[in-house]
Amino acid sequence: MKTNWAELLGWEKDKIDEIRFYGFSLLREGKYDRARLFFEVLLIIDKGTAFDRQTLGAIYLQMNENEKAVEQLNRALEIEPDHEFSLLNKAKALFMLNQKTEALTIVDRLKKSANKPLADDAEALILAHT
Amino acid sequence: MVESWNIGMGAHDTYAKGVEGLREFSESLKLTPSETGAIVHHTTILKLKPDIPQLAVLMRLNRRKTWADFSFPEAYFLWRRRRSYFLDLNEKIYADKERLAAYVDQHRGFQQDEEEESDSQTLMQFLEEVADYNNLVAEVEERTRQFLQG
Repeated sequence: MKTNWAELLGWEKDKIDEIRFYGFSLLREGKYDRARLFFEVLLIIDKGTAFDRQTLGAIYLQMNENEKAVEQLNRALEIEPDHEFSLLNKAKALFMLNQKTEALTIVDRLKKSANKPLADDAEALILAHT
Repeated sequence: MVESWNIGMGAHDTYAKGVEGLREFSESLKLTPSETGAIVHHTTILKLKPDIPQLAVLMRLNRRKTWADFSFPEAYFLWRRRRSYFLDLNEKIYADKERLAAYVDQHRGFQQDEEEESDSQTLMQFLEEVADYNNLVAEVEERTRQFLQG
């Protein structure tokens, strides 16, 4: 039987939210390695929230750990399949891993997004890789 | 200190002439209703939104852009207003570390899988990181207090 770490340590929702916010603040300051630890802890104690997986996947991508990024983003997309930031991040990681066909399929879909900056990024990736 | 009765009558005269001149000038600037209408008629409203080419946006130096895209957690900005610099009290963190260490010791030798072991190590590393950070914040606060007290 898996240990329930939150219960063992007596951490409730407020504490978990605090960890998430502090982790995100570190991320905004560019302290990716420290932010990564915070989000890894969130996945240990609060398994399965889409936001935490999306963010951890993005952190791995930012730190050039592309295989881990794809793995984490795939799990995030299982929970929230249309999350456009995660799709774009996954495409970027796939490009870095030289898996262009799958990456291009994703960005081709994203270039029609209503989110203009995101659509522009997708377009730029297509231009850069074709 | 200069007192008002030391100023000669000539100064009051100059001031009065100045006020009168200003009044006449502002009267000359007033427009008649037909003149106002003519201005409105000839005015065209220009497109105020700047049209910045995409390349200029991309090359702009003040654009803070990371390779990965992140979305904000819900209520993040509300939380930022009321945040404390400490993530938790150090007493609580030390208590958590002791509880975690005791649990790991208790289960060592039993069938603890690799994932559980890795999770407990990550948690311990996290608690140590938070304790270090809190100590740093406490030191900064203490030094600031010392500085302010001279």
